[in-house]
Amino acid sequence: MLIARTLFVLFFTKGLPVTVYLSLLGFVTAILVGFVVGLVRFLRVPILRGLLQVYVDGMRGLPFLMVLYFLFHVLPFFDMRLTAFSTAVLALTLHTGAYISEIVRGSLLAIPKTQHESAQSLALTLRQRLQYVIIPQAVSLSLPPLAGQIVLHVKDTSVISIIALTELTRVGRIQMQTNGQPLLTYAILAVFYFALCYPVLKLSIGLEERIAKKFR
Amino acid sequence: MDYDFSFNIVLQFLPYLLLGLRNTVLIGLIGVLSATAFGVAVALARLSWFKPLSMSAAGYVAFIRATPLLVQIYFLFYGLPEFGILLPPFLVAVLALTLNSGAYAAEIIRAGIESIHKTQYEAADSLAMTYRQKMTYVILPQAFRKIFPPLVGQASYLVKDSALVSVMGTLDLTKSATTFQAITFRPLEAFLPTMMLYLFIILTLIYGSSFLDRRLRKW
Repeated sequence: MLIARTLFVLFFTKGLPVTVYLSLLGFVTAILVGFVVGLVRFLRVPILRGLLQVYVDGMRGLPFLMVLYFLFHVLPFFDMRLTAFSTAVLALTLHTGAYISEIVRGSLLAIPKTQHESAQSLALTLRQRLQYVIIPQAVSLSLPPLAGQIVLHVKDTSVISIIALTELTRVGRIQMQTNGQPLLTYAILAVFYFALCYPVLKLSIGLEERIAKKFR
Repeated sequence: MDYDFSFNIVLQFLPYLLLGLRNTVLIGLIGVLSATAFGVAVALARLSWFKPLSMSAAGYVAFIRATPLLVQIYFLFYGLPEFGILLPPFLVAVLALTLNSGAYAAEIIRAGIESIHKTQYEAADSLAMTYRQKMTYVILPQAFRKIFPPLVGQASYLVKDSALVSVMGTLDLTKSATTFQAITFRPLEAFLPTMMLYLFIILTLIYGSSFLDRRLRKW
């Protein structure tokens, strides 16, 4: 009965739906940020390139919790009163976006020089070179790490429960406090995350093996 | 709108900041050592020919990789007392990070050992090396080169993840900053120095890892 109740609450109330929504929304915006930042750094656009490196290193060098706390407590002082949800999406976008930009840049750099040269020998413009030759090849290379990043991203959303946003982890915690069964409640909570993340993790490993075979 | 940043308040914060730094560094050091040792054990279990052992190791790694560290921390922190095991938060923090990071370290170590080509074993065998000679002179030196740089990278993740142990009340860097923030209502003075310290530790490990990778590859 307790198990059924906990499952029901996590699944139907603000638990799972909010976590899924937050993960999807955050990841879509993070891909946009990551693509632009990664491309700009790949093209070595002067000035912007340096600024963006500071941004990427800043995000890679800070715990997600610190980014979240910083935005949550500092933004109101500068007259930016965001809801907990918007702060969470902003933090996820900035943090995951930096990691995705590294994936984008790495995949673009992995395309051999000969591809650039042969595209140039066909008199393609920079834009055409990127659009028809480089980026399509880079996309398939970037898929396995991107799938891996989705797993990290979904797991990071659990941290957001700390700033009192009601999502899966927080609903689980509240359940634990009312039913007094931490082992059972957190085991069920872990199963929810496992069900979300494990298929994507498997997909990432599978894609990576396929690419490794292609290049052997 | 305008926030007047006060260095006086930063000075007041300094003793707490240093205490937090000390604990974060301690948790990081102990965590890295125990996670590596645990990772070796899990990797060996995964490579074992004994199916139940290798499968349970694989299951363990998958479970850790697919669930959030925060849920793992809550599980240990609230779950261990159910078994009558009462540990101070500092030890629960180290335990949680060891169990979590150990699974990732195991993957790194396993990949490193598996990446050594079969021909290397055969070549060592054809020189009539004993198992011990084969391992110490041929396999492990090559595996070490592949394992060490990503392990340093994993250490950067461990330090980053250690911020989460602040939710149990462990006085690490994050906890010292949030406590000071809550008392003084001065977020910039509390968070900026803390973030600087995190950036210094974590970026050193990240860039150290890629430097080692480049160095050891040439070797």
